[in-house]
Amino acid sequence: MTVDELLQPMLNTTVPLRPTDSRETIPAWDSLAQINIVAAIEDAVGVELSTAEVLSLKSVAKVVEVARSHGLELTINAS
Amino acid sequence: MTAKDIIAQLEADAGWRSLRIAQKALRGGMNRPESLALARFLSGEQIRSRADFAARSVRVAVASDTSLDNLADPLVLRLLERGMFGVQYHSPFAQLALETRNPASGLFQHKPEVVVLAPLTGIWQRITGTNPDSATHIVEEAWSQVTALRKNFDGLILLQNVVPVENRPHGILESRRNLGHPDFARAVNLQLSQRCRETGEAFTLDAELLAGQSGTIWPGLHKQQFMASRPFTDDLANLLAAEIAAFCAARKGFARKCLVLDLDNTLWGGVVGEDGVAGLQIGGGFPGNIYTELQKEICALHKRGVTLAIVSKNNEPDAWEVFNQRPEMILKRTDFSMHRINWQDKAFNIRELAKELNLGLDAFVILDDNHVERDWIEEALPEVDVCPAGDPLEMLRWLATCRRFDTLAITREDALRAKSYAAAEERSRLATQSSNLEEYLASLEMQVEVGCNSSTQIARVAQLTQKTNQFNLTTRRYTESEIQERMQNPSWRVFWCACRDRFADEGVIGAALVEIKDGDWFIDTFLMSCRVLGRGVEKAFLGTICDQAGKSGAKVIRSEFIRSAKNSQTENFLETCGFTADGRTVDFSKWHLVLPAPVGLTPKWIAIQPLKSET
Repeated sequence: MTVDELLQPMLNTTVPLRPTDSRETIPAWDSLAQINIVAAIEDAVGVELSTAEVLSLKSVAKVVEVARSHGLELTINAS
Repeated sequence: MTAKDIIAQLEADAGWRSLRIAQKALRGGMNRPESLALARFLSGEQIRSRADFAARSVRVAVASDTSLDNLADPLVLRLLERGMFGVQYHSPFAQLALETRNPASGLFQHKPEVVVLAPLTGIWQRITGTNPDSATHIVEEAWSQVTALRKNFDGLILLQNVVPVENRPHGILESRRNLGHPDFARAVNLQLSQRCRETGEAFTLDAELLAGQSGTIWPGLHKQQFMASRPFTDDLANLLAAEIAAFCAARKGFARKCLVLDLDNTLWGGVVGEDGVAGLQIGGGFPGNIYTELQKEICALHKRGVTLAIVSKNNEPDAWEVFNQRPEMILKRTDFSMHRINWQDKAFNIRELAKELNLGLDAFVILDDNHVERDWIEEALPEVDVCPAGDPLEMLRWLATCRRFDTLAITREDALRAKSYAAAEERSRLATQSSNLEEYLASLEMQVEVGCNSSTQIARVAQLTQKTNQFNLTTRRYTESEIQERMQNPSWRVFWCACRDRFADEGVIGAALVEIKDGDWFIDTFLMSCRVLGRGVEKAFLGTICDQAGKSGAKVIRSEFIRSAKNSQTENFLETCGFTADGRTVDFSKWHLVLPAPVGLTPKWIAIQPLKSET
């Protein structure tokens, strides 16, 4: 799965996402989007994320890191 | 750690240390064969010989209108989680009403401390219509089990209520009926809990509530129901078991009394020594609101009488500053009876608290976000219950559902009532229990119908011969075509027996095959489904067959008993019906009865309908 496949629908964008993208650079990354991102990762990895993990999901790089720690590889669009 | 290792550990020592090892393995998620092996060991005789077992054992009896035997393994494991060893008795299938009324029944012989009464688990299979009147009838019937049991039992009665089902005859319009299925369940349950509350005789075992928390497959629509008439899913059985274990702990006086709390990342988010008082997460949005809820939960426990204490590695002045300066704190400094805010070993601190509060270590529960501290406390003080979670949301969930502090608030009136039940006068009056049992059976308004050679019953009779193991004199199995053949054969008779009472229509539950040899009748097969046993239906059925034999001109009716692995309960049946033995070994016996049969084989509480015969 790519980062774009997971996150673009939640962030209401078709622009390829970069690791440095965060709640600051993407206006649609609001608290509702945050809940959807948490739920999408939980659905994909089959476990509940801890409160600390939820709090750490502030950038695309962090999403990739948390997903990877649960065995889900999210590839970043090369372009 | 495998079940084998844990069993070896428990065999060597049944104390707290072994219990904790077992609990940890269970928490870690044991697979089914392993947990089953552990459950079987815990239910076995071996562990009961241990001296440390007796002090923490609890005797539980379960009686239901169907079968809750898939509750047995979860219950023994959930009891273990609460530091108890369960010694269980499960009444035979559907024998609830008889077991509660007979002082010599297996239930009473078990000498239970806690009885789980589940009179309504099969309700959706047997009820014919739901309306306010039928709800009242169901309540009366269920409650009669409580009053019957209470006559000979002083212990704790848990009355399980109705589990709603997805089966709604009118679909989304069901709520417009008076009463539709969901409202019917609610009405019955509301009336039952009201009775429990007002009389103080029983506690509601709220299966309705727990079913809402369990799984995605509705009770009644899962494999266990169809394969074994077990009304509950494993999920629901587990939740019920945990709830029963909480009642047992309360009953035995094992409820915990003191909650020991860490501070940083437990009562608030963050570390006061690093983040400063203003930087801590408490109140407001996520995740501070989790800590707020956690504090509310702790506050509620405190109001219920749970002693609170703080054991934290911190600078004491920093800690109190949070209480003084953060208005979002629900808990106040004065809510805590004791505190140990220092840099010492926490196990040492807790031991000191126990001494000062004059409580045993088995009265303590610990909440601490640090898993190293948790592991150490568990290792050093195995009597202490340590919340296994460190995440605030998980800690909140654990605290809200752990049931570690729950007690049975017994008022003086309750105690007095219990005494009056123990009164000798009451006992001697009820010693003549048989008349009460008969009264009960008479109140069922039982009707038995016997038919002969009915082509409509071929399938059912064949099925009964194939499935019935317990009440089956000869255990001969027949296919449908074999049954059909005998119905058409003039020297055979195929009888069936149906039964209904005020509450339920059981349908065809008995079958008998008779061969006519030289004018005399020979009972080749006689069987009865176990769910109606003990009410005299089997005698009424045999009596009717004997009458028919007499009318047909037979001088004698013969039968035999062939022992199988499961039919020992029928070995004296013919004798109790007035038959004489012609030859008897342990595994095989032949019997006869001279006709006409003596009157009175049919119990007086059963009405027999005229025989229906197709040939």
